[in-house]
Amino acid sequence: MKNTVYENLNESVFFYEHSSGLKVYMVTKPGFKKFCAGFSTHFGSIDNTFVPIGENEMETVPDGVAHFLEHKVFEQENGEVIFETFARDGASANAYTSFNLTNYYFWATDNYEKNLETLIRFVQSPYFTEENVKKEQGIIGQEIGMYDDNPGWRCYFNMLQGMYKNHPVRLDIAGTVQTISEITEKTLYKCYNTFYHPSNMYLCIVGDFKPEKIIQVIDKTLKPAKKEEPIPREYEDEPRGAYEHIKVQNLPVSSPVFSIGFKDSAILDCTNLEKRKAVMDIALYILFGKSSQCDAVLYENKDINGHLSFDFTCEDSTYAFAEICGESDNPEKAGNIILEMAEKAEFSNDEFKAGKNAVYGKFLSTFDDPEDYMQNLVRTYTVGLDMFKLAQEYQNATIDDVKKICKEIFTKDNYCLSIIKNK
Amino acid sequence: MQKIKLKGGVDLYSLKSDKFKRWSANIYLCRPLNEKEASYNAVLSAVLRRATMEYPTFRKLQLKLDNMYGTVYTSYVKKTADTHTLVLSVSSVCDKYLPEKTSVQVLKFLKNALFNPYVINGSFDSATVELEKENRIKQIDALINNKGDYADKRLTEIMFEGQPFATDVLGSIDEIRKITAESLYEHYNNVINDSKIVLAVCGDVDINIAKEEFEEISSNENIPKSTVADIRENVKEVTEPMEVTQGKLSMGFKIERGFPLARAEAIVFNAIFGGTATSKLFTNVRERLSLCYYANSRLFYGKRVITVRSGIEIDKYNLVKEEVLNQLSEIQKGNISNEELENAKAHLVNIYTSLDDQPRTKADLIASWLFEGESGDVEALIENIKKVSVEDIKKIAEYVKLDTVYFLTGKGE
Repeated sequence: MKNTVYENLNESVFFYEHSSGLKVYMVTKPGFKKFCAGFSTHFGSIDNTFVPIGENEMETVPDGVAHFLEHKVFEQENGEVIFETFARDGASANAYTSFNLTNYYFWATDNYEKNLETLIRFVQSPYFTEENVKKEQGIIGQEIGMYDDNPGWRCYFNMLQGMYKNHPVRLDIAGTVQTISEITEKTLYKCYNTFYHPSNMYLCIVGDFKPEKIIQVIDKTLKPAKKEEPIPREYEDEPRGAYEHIKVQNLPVSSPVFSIGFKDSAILDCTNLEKRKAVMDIALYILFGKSSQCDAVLYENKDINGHLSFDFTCEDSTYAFAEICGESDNPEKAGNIILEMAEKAEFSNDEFKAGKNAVYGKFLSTFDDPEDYMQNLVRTYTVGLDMFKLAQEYQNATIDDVKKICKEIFTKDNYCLSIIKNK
Repeated sequence: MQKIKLKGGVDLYSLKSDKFKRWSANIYLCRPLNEKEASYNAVLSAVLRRATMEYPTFRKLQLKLDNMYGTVYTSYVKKTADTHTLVLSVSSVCDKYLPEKTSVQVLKFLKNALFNPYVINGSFDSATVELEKENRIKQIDALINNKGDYADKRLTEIMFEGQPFATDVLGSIDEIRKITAESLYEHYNNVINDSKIVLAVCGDVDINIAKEEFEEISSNENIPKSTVADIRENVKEVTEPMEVTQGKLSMGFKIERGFPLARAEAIVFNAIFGGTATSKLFTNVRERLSLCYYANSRLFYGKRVITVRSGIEIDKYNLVKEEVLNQLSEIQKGNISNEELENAKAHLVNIYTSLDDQPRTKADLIASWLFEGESGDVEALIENIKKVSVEDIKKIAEYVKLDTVYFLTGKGE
């Protein structure tokens, strides 16, 4: 077990690698009541082409299989309802699938060893049958229907489909009714055995506990396995620039909503993703935050309702993009103003300093919420990133870094505007 | 938790802890609940968020917050029993994690945000007031986007017709339209001079700074008393059509006046009835009988009210309604397994214990209890929850009566 101390943050992380290849990251927070644990696999909606365990050839599986597995992993052969088991021990549990990973997690203020055992045990006991796969196809089909009616969700995925021509990040995480109908229990076992091998999994824990106790639970509960090599994966080549520049869909909304994407066409050449993420977060804050010139112009001219939200997704060296979204009665006009402000990227040194301090100060709140903290550890470690390095990069960023990244990413060529409005 | 009475009358609550990287301070101004108050407070909270005399534009104000290492300033309104509360809040990084100390500046900023807002020619800036009126109206209009929330709002309006509690937290479009910069400024002066004021300071910050800044602020002791409404003799049922594919059924229950209702018992009752994923409504109406997409219940302790909301297929209206009543009668008969009781209690203990990690939420809760006319602390509540028995729950259930049913149905062919 290795302990790394981050002195200026007053934080430290214990790292332990189990003989099966499982990587465990533990953060002790004395005095905190919440104990949070996330058990994750580096398997998300984009991982559709890979070499299955024990085989030699690339194989492509139907879209939406990672999310499908997330649902099915909860099902137990003896009929045990996992949510009830957690509830009995005072824990709240859930799971989600993103582009790059699937995470099963719980939080509790008591019985943490027992709850951790439940978590490790249920994720490691798959039970897929022809019958239960069929039943799930109906349930997930309904879930997909629900997403189809959700304006914010549609707006976001239309933007991704606008930006990306080939990369699987353009696909809905749950797949489509058509693709999930192609999933069989065989597909599930193949993906499960490949991606749910401990060598491809991570356990991130935050709370007030003794690390030795956690390791005892892991050693006792984890099924024995031999460490495996990383899984070869393949993604289709993606041309530079956005594939389409505008996407419009009609859905009932009280005001139109929009998402603007800027595709990071240079991500393939990037060797320091934490730095790219930190610098871009600062850039977005300075240009589109509440203190920005852009906000003042849009808000006071009533070209947006409320303020803009924005984020830079950068978890993987195969794709990255900035998103800026909001609500507007005139989304085309708002989009043009945002594009113009982004291309100009004008700000003073004082504005840069204020923005950098603000982004860093807000980032620190992550360390105050054990659940948020655990999720951030999962989101970074599972894909090979490091959130403490990210914290450092927020402090290292210079005005030149920010100016340079704006020039690279904020171009007409990378821009895509997605709109949802009434018919 | 420590409670200090300041000279001018403000109640200062200190939730000290050094485990966090950020600290926060919330000011609560308690007002009576009615349509006009709610409308004025809703617009006022938005106008106070825009500018102060020291930082007269939103951008300047926001840059100041950025320069104080990402200090967050929020303002909002809350409805608790028959009171309406205006809340101003700041959160900021603790001095020990910064190259320069900012806590004094941040608390001065909060005080100025409330007592020294941007004023021109003896009034608020009328362009700002008009803009924020419009934004609030859009926010009220947007409620229709969420049909479940909309059905709940209609249920409350029908159940409490003619009473303060019928008021929406953002007031009404009609009342908001009547607001002018002048009338809002007059209202603002009433609010700061004639309200019960509570200040809660959480985290690692010197409480003496807050004491000093707010020592002379005057606060009265007027917390509007909440009323408990009579229960209808005949249940009122209202059905309204709209273009929806999923029906929304909301049911309002009242707990009879004669029964002394303890908070811990009411909370456990609600958890067993429909408050959790192991509740009777969830496990029976949704999971076992597949009668709905969701079904859950909410407790309004100060009003002795429990509401049930559910999303259902339109032709299942009678089935769902009967099943919800059936689950209530199960509780009335005392048909609660030990496991149901223990699961509900474990869930609640978990939730309330975890508030220790979320001091702002805890402060909000303590303030809302105060405005319901009760002082209390979370630790005592947890102990009381642990003591609740099946017998206690059964007794409450006997006094729970259906009052109003609202159904949002499809337009049909």
